[in-house]
Amino acid sequence: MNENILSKLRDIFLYDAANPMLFNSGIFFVLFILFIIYYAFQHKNRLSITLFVIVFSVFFYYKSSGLYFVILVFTSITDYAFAIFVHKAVKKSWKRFWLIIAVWLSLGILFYFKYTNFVLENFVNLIKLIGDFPLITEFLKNTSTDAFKSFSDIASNNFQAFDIFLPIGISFYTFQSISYVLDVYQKKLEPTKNFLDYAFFLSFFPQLVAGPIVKANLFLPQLKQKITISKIAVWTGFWFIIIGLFKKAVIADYIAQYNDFVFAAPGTYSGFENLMAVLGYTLQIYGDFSGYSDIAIGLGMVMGFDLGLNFNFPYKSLNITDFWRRWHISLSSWLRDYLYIQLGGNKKGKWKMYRNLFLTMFLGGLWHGANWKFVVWGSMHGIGLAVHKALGKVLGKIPNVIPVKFVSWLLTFVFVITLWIFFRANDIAESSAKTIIKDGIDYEFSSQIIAETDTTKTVRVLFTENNVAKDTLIQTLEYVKGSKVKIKEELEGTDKVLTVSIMEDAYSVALTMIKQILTDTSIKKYAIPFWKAHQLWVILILIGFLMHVSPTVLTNKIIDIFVKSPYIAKLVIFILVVQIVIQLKSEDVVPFIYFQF
Amino acid sequence: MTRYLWQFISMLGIVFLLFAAYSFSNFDIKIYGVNLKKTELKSFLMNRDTIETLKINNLSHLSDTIDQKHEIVNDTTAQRILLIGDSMLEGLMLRLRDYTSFNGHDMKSVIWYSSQTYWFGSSDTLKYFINQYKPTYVMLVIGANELFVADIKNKRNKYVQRIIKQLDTIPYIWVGPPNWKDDTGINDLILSNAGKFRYFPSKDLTYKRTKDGAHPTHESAVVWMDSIASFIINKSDYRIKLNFPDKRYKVSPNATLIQPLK
Repeated sequence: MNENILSKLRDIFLYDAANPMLFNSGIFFVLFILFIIYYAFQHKNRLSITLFVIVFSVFFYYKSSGLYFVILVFTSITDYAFAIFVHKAVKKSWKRFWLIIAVWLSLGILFYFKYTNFVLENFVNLIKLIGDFPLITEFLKNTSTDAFKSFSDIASNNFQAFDIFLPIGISFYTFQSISYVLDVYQKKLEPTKNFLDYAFFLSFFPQLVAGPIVKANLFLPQLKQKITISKIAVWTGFWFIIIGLFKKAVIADYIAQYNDFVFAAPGTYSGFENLMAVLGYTLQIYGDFSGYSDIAIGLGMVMGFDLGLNFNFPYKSLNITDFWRRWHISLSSWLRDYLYIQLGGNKKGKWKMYRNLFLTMFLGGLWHGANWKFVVWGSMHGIGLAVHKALGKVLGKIPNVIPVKFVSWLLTFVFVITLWIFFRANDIAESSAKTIIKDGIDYEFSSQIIAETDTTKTVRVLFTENNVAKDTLIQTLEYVKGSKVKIKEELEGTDKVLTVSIMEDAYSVALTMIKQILTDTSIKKYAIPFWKAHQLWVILILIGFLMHVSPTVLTNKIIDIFVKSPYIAKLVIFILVVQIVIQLKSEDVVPFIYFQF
Repeated sequence: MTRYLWQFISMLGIVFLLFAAYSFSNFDIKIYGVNLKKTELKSFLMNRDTIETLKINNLSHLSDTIDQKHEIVNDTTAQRILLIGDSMLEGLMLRLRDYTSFNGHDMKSVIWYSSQTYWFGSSDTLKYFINQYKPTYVMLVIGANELFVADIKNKRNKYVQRIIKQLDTIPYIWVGPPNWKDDTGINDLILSNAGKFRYFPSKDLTYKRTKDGAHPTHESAVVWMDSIASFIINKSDYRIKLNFPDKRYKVSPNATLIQPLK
């Protein structure tokens, strides 16, 4: 019995990599009740409540990322100190020096955890590319044998990624921290004198792991005021929590199940099914991200803090500029204030403005993940924004009537969802072979291309056991040119399983989806069978998009009615939503999409 | 103004107590035929091993009961057989094709590469193909990708149960994985859920393997399918017509291939 209690306490209080704590997990629900009871008692005692919230926030982060909470603590201390150095330095050059140190340190940590493998993999690919050019190969051979050897060594081996853990939310709090030091440098903000206030700001658990990216100049002044918890704030916050839960745990998590299957093998589904999956993912990413943001904003409101708005019905947008004013508002405004404007914004002529838009979105894409597909996605949005700016005068002359609005909406929507295909598509294993390597065997492996035709390559995987070259053939796989060979090691018990896979890259997967949609989307043929097989999925999709169609006035009216509704009505609504969440929940809590970014 | 915060807290508390009480209750609430699911609070607070052991023991007990009183159905009508599972199907489907052609059945094969009970148990793939093909008999071949999963009873039991639940009343046989090494419990898990009349212990056969060391060769898969057919007509509780085919048939096994999840 004691062992059982200890085991449950471990489950509650110790980090479990397989189950990071999320707002929609049961453990958070229980811990939050305990937290908010203490908060209600102590919120007027500033020092006590500040310390308590910081400890709870760090614990929350520990439950998400384990011992990497130390990085959060480290960033809090360094950026708090650097902001003071920036502020106190008399000479401009010293101010600049401390600013550069602060920004490079924050970005350096982010870079290491998020981009190291990406950069190294691309470096290896670049070397391989150089090796493919006979002239360069010949040149290297003639100039330096050693240099050639090291190049050929790199080119003949598959890149093995370093095992670097990406701490959850690092992209979010790094940007928050940078904005604070930059605001101090630009004298928009006085540095806070109290370290606890700064730690509170950076670690505030509702927005810590997935935003909104709250700017220091919005949040820190709130810490100087008395915490007031009004009726409107509590019940509006509660509304946001309920809606967020519904969007994330009901809509996004449920519809994701179908979307995942189609994105994993688009070639095996009809164009209609592919189209449904794309529409599904369009709603899934919105429900997932805005739902999580809504819960964060709601929790903040209940505790008496304003975290701002992060989503404003983005799929209503009539143009791409409008879309970025409605989608992930805290990130787009951060990019605007700290990147686009710093690059010169629209002050240095139209061509530089286009360049700045492109660069901002290029880097914005890279922020989403260490993968070229995010860069392509961001860049395409950058081009879209630049084109929209360039056509601004022409578009302004077109009368703003309903048919024009409809066409504008349709063009924007198609542009956005097409780019979501590239954003979501992943590499797919076309074929793979597994080999089990016994515990204790020290081995290395490499791949060699042994045959090549116009359209296919045959790869042979070799391995060396206990430093003795065994030259043993594990597997010969034929694959279409352009596909990639990936080798993955996994631990099963004490043995290792080596999987050699031929991957279709994400770009080809995305093109397959688009081709299927353009060539095999007969509504007459597929719509009714689809409805019969996926009724609940279709209903949730319709609910999700209908939420977008409702006018803002109506949405505000509904919130108002909820706030004024009797206690029992709110209770019934909450019970209903929680039961729907339990009813539709997949077995494991689905990780938040943006955790991977 | 703090009273609104207390009202909010009381609401959280009431909801927690309500769902906790329902989780520990011995009754199920149904609304319009839909069973209201419970939270996992009970299973979280109780020792999971104890619960799983109880479940397995209960099922084993059921199996013994079935042994004594079991009804055996002999169905000699033409069947629509759905053969569904992981890559182990590749060899089996070619031999099953001979049986279905010879015995006048229709067949559909669905290979979901690298699939596991976890995938089938957490998706509607099986249900989708059942709705689409409307089989009268299902052959499941799932488990080979989970031979070495640690703590498998805790991790996979619910998915195995969900797979069986998706079959509803359709008669089925679950072909266990053809082990190339001792497993950590997947065979026991399938047996405990499907029962010994609907579980074929492939691990008891010996195979010639392909180069990967896991998949039986085509010749070996023929013997494997013959053994399964023999089990179905002699030892299972739902026996369909699977007389030994007179020759190899070269008709299509009507296969759908699904690529693995990333």
